[in-house]
Amino acid sequence: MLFTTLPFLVFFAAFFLLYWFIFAGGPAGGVRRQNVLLLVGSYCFYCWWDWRFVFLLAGNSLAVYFLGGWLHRTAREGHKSLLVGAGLSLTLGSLLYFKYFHSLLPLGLSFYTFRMISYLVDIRKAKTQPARDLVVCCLYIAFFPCLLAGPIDRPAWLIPQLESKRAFRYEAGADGMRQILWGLFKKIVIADNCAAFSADIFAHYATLPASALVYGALMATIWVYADFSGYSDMAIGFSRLLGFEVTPNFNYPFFATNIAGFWRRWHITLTSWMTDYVFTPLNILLRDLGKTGLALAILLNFTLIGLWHGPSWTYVGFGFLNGCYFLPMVFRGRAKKTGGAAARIATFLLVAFSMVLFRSASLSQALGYYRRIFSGSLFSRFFIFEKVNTVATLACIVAMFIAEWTQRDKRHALQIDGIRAFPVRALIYFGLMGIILTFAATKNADFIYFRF
Amino acid sequence: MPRFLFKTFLFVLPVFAGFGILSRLGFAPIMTSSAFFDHKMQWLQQHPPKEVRLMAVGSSMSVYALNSQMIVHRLRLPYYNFASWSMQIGDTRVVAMDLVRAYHPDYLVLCSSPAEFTADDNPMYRNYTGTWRFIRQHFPWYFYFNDYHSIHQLFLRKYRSSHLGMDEWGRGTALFELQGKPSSGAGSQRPDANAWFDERISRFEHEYRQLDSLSGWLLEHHVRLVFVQAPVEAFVGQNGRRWLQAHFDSCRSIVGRHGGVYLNYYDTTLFKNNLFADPVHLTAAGSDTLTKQLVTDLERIIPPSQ
Repeated sequence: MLFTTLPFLVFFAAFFLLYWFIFAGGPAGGVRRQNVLLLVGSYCFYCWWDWRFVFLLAGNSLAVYFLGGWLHRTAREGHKSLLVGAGLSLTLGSLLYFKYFHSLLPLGLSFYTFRMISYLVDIRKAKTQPARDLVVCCLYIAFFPCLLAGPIDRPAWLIPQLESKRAFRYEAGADGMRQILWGLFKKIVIADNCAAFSADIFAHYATLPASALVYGALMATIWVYADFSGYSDMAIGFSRLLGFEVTPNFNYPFFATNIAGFWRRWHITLTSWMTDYVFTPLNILLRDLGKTGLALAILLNFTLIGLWHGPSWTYVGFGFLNGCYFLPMVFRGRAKKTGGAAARIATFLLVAFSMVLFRSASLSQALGYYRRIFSGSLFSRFFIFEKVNTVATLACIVAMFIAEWTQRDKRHALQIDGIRAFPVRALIYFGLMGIILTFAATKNADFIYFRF
Repeated sequence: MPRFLFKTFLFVLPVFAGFGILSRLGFAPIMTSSAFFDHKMQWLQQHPPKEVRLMAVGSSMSVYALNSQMIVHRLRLPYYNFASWSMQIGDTRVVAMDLVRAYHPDYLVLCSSPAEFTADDNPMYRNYTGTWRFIRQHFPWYFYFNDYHSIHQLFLRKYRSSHLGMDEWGRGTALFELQGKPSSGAGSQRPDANAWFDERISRFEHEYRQLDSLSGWLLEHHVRLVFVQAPVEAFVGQNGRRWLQAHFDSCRSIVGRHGGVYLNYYDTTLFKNNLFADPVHLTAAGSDTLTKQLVTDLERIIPPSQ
């Protein structure tokens, strides 16, 4: 049940009406009733993909809930370490087993495992309280708008919202709808079309000139961004319709002026999770080595980020290469310097270069792709299929970047509060909807991050 | 909340209205990737046959090679050809089961070439037949939104789709524009048919299972399957005798196991190269030759009282 399909829209419309009209109200503002409905809805949403894995999700959630409770109650450090160790073994064990040793990967496993780890570790560090009841804990892990590909909210942020009374606010709801519309545009017009273009080029890279390969790498980069940020926009929008504010996952990463800035703005919830739970402990551990220790911590952290995507050398290479991008900053101390357009373009090109690894099916394909990029046919012409679609998609990419640049201080590009005239706003909304309906990609592809 | 719902409604309404206008303007929804199949199903919705006792299904061989007039005039049975291009046996199975439920025929003719055993099944046929018939018949605009196709695609489908011509019994007429042209393989290098088959062995096995499933299902539903092994150009047989014979044996065995009739028209002396538009498709003259043979056999299979 993709966010972009009819079954999800029907599911969500029915859910929304039940949630606000039937289950709201009553004792304590209907919080518990709404939470039970949310949990049932989340598990039904998950079952739509594959009902078998809902038992893994529910079983692990149950274990994490009880471990969290014991962790909070016990005063002995040894017991606490033991409980955290048990929780990590269970959750990380499931993740490692399914991700690296099993042919089937339960959807969203990487994302909800990180939520479970956050829950236990944050209770251990007294950063958060355990959930008041089982439903809230399970819901924190399985909240359906964010279940399959994040954002990975921290318990201290989402659990209090799940435990408090919520009311529908028109402004939040309307803005959520706008964010969904913007996400839809990025996903089905830009990402799905770019996916098709880049797939063609990556499939035939061995026979194409370097110019086509550069085009393919740029398309792949924009695909990954538009796909994942489009998904995140929709997840945030749907959450806002249900009265929740979840953590933003992207902050216009292609406007960053260096690689550190890029990673602060790209997949924010994963990067910050890795920073808190992996990089910081590593950095402390290696602090005696000075800058070398810092570099090692960064390289390890990014290699693990790469490996988080899957058991493939291409992902390891992607993470490692991005870690390497940090090294000049670490050793020369240039991280705090800012630049203009040239720095932004250079950062974008560095990211696009690493995306070849991310997009390739194997390391040998990636290396072959790199070899051909530097083959000297950089200015050769190449043939483009489906010219109308290509031109429309390229125009939409330009429009997306212009909109995001002008709106870069807002939560999303369609937050047009400054425009008061209703006809202008209506023109923008219907214009965007018209573009979506006219140029949506032929093939409605899965969200790329679902596979992680 | 009412304000929010009202504004959402105002936003969504023009979208539906827009598709209503497109429908009025003749931009039919895309139900499957086959323009011919969609065209035929939409035509059938508007002109449903009153009765179908003999039903033809399958891919392009069934679409073009069965001369409807000859079948109807000689057999004098209510007949319709539901076949469409580019279907694999798995696709035919899904569609045939749906059509049999709708029309309750006594006989089902499946005119097949080896090409129908070589590619992946198309999930769009399953999506189509999996949609409630009530929705398909009364709310076809549902397909504008289910498995969404852009307005750009609707335009391309309307203005770029050609060769959708059919006679009144559903037989396609477009292939005969090729009539008089040399066989597509003539003069070109012939592929090694044995190697070609070996590469596709897993697909063939999958499609044999589909044929087995369809044959069994038809037997359960008291519909007699007539499996027609269409002729192929001589070079295919010469160059791939081993696999072609194995293919014939597999089909014969599957169909026979479920009480179906297996008719094999692979005969290079009767179907010479000049009767082929390409290695598997017949010209109009070739189709007439095949249909004559088939009708003669069907007269023997179908009791005269019927």
